[in-house]
This record gives sequence, C-alpha cells and structure tokens, in this order.
Amino acid sequence: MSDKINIPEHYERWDADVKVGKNDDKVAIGYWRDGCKGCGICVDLCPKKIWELIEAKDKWNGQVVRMTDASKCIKCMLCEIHCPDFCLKIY
Amino acid sequence: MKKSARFYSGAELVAKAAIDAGCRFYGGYPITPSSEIAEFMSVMLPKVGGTYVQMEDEIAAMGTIIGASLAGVKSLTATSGPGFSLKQENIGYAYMAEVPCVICNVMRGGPSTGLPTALAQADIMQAKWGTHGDHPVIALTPAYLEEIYELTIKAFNFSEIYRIPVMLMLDEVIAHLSAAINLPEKESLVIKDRRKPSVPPEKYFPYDTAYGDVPPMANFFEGYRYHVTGLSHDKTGFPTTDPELVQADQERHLRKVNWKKNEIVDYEYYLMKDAEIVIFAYGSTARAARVAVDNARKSGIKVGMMRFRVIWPLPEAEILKLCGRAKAIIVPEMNMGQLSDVIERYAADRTKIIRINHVGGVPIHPTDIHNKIREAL
Amino acid sequence: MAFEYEKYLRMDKIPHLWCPGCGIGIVLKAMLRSVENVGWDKNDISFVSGIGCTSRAPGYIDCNTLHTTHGRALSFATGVKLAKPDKNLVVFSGDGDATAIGGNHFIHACRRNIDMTLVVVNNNVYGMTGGQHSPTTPIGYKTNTTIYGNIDPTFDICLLAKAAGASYVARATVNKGRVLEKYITKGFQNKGFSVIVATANCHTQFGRKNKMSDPISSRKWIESREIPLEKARTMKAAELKDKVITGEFTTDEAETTFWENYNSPVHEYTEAYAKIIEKVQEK
Repeated sequence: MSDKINIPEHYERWDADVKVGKNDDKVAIGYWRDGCKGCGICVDLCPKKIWELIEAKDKWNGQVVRMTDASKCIKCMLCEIHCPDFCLKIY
Repeated sequence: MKKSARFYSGAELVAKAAIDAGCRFYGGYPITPSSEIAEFMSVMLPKVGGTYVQMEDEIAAMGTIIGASLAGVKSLTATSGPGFSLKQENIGYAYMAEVPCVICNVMRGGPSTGLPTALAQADIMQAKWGTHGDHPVIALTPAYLEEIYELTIKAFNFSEIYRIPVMLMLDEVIAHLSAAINLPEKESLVIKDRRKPSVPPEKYFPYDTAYGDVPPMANFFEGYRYHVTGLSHDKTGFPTTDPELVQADQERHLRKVNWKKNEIVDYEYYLMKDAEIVIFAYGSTARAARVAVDNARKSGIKVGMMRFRVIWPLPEAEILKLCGRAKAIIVPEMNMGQLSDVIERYAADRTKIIRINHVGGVPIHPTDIHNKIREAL
Repeated sequence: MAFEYEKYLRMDKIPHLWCPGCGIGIVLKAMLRSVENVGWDKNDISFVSGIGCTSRAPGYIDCNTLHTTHGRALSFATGVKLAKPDKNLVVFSGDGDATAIGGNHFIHACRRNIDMTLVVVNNNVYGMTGGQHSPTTPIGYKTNTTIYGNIDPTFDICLLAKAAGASYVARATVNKGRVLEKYITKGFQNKGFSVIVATANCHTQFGRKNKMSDPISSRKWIESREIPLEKARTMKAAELKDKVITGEFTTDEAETTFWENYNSPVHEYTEAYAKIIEKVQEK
C-alpha cells in the first residue's frame, strides 16, 4: 500500500519492507529537510534508533536528521507524533 | 408634544438606540454612573434575541464586545472613567484590528476613583489619547435626551462605516436626566452596516486597500478564514515588521477619519451671526452656556455659542475662522481645560481665551458663564 | 498512518517561529488531530490566543484565528462564543498568559462553564519576553528574574480550574502526544469549559538557567517529575513534592464525588442563556 502513498515531492522519501508485530508490511517514510530544525527529538524517541543527527552548515543550529535504515521501522509513530516541526510522515 | 411621548432616562435612551441601531450584544462591568445602561440592556436584549453578559472586569468586557463584533454582531459596552482607563489596551486592539464597536463612557470626576457620583467631563482627552500609539478618533458628546438617541445610532453607524471603536461620551447628568420625549419613527432611521467582501474567500484579504481606506470586513464563520492580530500587519492580516508597510498602514488608519472629517464633524451654532464673543461648549455645560447667552443677549451683548455634538474630530476650519473673528472666546468645561488647550492652539494668540474650569462635581451655573461674558467685554 | 496536518495548516507560514524542539509544536499537532477526531468543519472553528510563544499558534491554523492582547484571549473568545453559540471555540494559552495576567478571566471562564476548550501550554517560564519566572516556575529553580532561586509559590493550574468549576480538566506532558490528543479530544467533546494543561519544555529560557539547555534533557526533566494520578493517590505528600500529577482530574472517585456534590458545574452558560431568551420571548 505504501506505493500509493503520495508523500509531497519536497519530502525526502524512504520505502522499505518491514515487520510490524507478526505481520509483513511496507513503510514509506517522508522527511522534510527544509522544515527540520535538528532538535533531535525523533533520534531520542525512536526505539530502533534509526534516525541520526548529522551536521548541516546551512541550518541555524548546525544539524539535521537522517534515516539510517528504514527497514527497521516498526511504525510506532513516536517520531511522527512528537516532531514539533511537521517534518515527518510515516505511512 | 405628541401623545406617544413617554419618560426616558438618558441611560435608557442609550440602550434603546443601541438596539434600534442593530446592537445585539452587550458586555459590561458595573460602574457608577453608567450601570443603568447595563441594567437596561440586560432587560431589553433577550427580548430581541440578543445577548447580555456581565464580565469579571472592565478589560474582559471590552474583549467580549470585540469578539462578538468579529463574529458579526454589533456590540456595545458602557463604562466610566476608571473603567475606561482599564479598557484602553483593548480599545487600541480594536483600532489596530479595525473592529467596529461602541463604547459609552458616562464621565465622572477623576483621576482615580475621584468623584464616582458627580458630574465631570474628565475623559475628553482620554477618548483621544487613552491608548498607546496613534489612531483615528470619533467621540460624540450629546447634550439633550433626543440627541442621546440620535447620536447613539450615529455612533454605531460611524463604527460600522469606518471599522473603528466609537466613543459615546455622556456627562453624568445627561445620562441621569429623565424627561418625556418623542422618538423618531423607526422607518425614518438610517442604519449602516459594515461593508462585506464581494470576492470569494480565496481572493479575500482582511486589510485589502484595493477597496479604499476602509477594507470590506468578513465576519467569522462565513467561510472567510482569516487571521486577526494586534501586531502590525500587512493586508493579509499576518504580522509584519516591514517599515514601509507599517508606515502606510498607520497613515491609512488616520486617513479613514481625517479624509472623511466633513461627513463626521457635527456642531450647532446658537446666535452666532453677529456674535463678537464666542462660547465653545459641549455636553451639559452647553446647556448652561445657552442660558447665559440668552441672558447676555437681553442686555444687548453680542454673544453666541458653537456647540460640538461630535467632539473628536473637531471642525478645524470653522474654529480657525471664529478664532480670527471673535473678540474673545469662552470655554466652559467640567475639567481643567482639556478642550481649551486645543482651542488655544487654534487661536494662536489672535484672540483672548477665557477658561471656566470646574472639577468640584457641581455643574457650571449660567451665572458663572455670564460673569465671564461681562469680563470679556 | 501519517496525519495530513496540511489540511488544517496555513502551509505558507510553516516552518513556525518556535525554537528547535519546542513542545508547542507537539501540542499544536495533538490539537489538530483532535479536530479531525471530532470532525469539526474548519469554517466553524475559531482559535483564539493571547500573547506569548504559545499564542502564536493560531496564526498557523487555517481557521478563523484571533490573536488578542496579553491574557485576554478568554474574554475575546467568550464574546465570539456568546455571539455564535453553535460554533466551536478553542483557546490556546501559555502559563503566564492564562494564570498570571489572564488569571481572572481563567477562573471566571471556569465558573461560567462556557462551552469552549482552553489548552494551556505550561513551560514554567515567560519565554517570549526572555525567560522571567511565571506563576508555575517551581520553587528553587532559576530564571532570569530568580537567579538566586525562585521563592514565588506556584499554581497547580488543574486544581485551580477544577475548584473554579471547569467541567473537564486534564494534564499530559509533551512527551506523550497520543495522551494529549486523547484529552484534547475529550475536551472538545465536553459541553462546557474544558482545560487541558500540556506540560512542555522551554529549554531555551528555562532549561538554559537550570542545566538542561537542550530539548532532550528538558524533556527528560519533565518525565522525571511526572506522576500519573492513580499512582499519586497511593503516595505520601512528601513523595509528591516537586512532582507534576498527570491524568484526567474528573473521575468517579469518592472524594471527587464529594466535592462535586458540594460544588459542581450547574449548567453550560450559552444553553442557560438560550433558555432566558426563550422565557423572555414567550411573554
């Protein structure tokens, strides 16, 4: 179903096959870099630690986040719900 | 007097006129000597499906009438000196966000708690400069009961036409006066309503100057989802700090009233044709001045009166002309010279200004004015 | 499933002005999801706010939005609600805005039990003015105006709201966005005055003075102080010192029933006023 998800074009996007509970599933993760302020809340909250902070010289506080391995996502939505800047979309 | 005449108090007339002007919301806080207006509104509004609410303080009362007006309901509050001071920040908000509403101030002695039950004209300057920043002002000063009715309706019309809060300034004795009067026929009333946008929501800007200095106003919940703020804003209603936009917006605000002055100023000449001595007066003091003029005329003194039914804005050109012509000008006021100071500026030493300033709470007697007329000779 | 926040936002105003990691954005999101949960039409909602960091939120929401004067949001909202009782009013306020300068309006809106929802984002400090102490800055903590440690006692906003007559009161932290969403949704559904307090981080102003100047450590501090209501009931007073009780403050517990019998919200204000109009017009 993630193929049908229309994440806006200005979002970076990662697609992967994942396992949610006992079921096979697909995930589509969208990330809006321009809106990201690099606060690191998603990095802190992710139970699988698949977000990481990286340096970004164009940003006010010098950092943004990056997805390391979308296939580990368990779709807990913690990052999406707690991103204060409307930058993450998990489908 | 027609058979239909009945007794009205000034306070009741404010309430009646407000409802006849289409006012359907009153938010207030009790304060002497204006509380009767709240009492009348609490009785009359439910009868016409309107809402009366007594708020926890003066500030909240001012907030509610701005909120109700944004939701499309004409609204009124009444207060007196100290309450008027408390309302000033939100009055400034109404100027900035261009929200029509009417504030009736039944004036009492000040500063501070002052003379709560006594007559004064203490807030003439507070009406003009009470809130911080520059803004246009319309303030009306009725002197007779019939005039309270007429000018209250006018106050609502001005607020709707120019999208500003309008001050209705009553002397304590005017609000508490009772007499049998005839009111105009309802059909003869001219009632103005705010101009609504003619464009669909996606093309609407709340402060769009393309339609003149007074932008059309969409009410809340009518499909025009826009933002209202007290911050300096651009035509979209969102905050801006662009110096040019802020400057232009402030100038437009002032223009709304300044360029329409001729349609707003309202005054009455009494025996002015050959007058050498001119009295400038407003509100209750004008009634004493009128008696003084009559008495002086009996002894052949050429004296006349210019009475302001609208105190802000003043009819500048007329005052300037009179200042050049009159031998002397007398300004009786129930304050320490709030209008006289302004007249003095217009006169610019061309003529003598005689002040009568009573702040003891007792009305100025015609004799007090008569004595000054003799002094001026 | 990702939520389509774009549906409710003025996207041309995003990114918003709040600091990186500020909790207000999380509360705003929970509120937008709640709007979806109750299915309100955007044209029928008015978001009202006062002054402060939190109060900038309505500017980002594509509704009838009203950014008023400091502390007075509830009075403006009362005017809007009384003028149009069938519309939905949501007030967004900070702790200083709601309980200091707006404290009078706060308790009286609770007393009137007027049908609207107040979301208070409590970050324990005045953020926008540069980090001065607020009525919720805990004792002993430092701010720009309590550099020797705060001695100014605090309000518990939920207890205040409940005592004043609000008919739904709840508190959650910004660490638990789903819980916030649940409470705000319940607040929207409640016919009466609802107060939802969101305990939030201000690492920029409050954290900076108290050795937690990044969002993560500030959020951990909030977590360390949080005690769920049910657990708190089993604890001793001394153990609850410097803790923040979260949960719904309206339950069927015996003690609550006792206080509600004594001082419960009588009616919702706009409904009561509609009855007055009906009665007067019948005559």
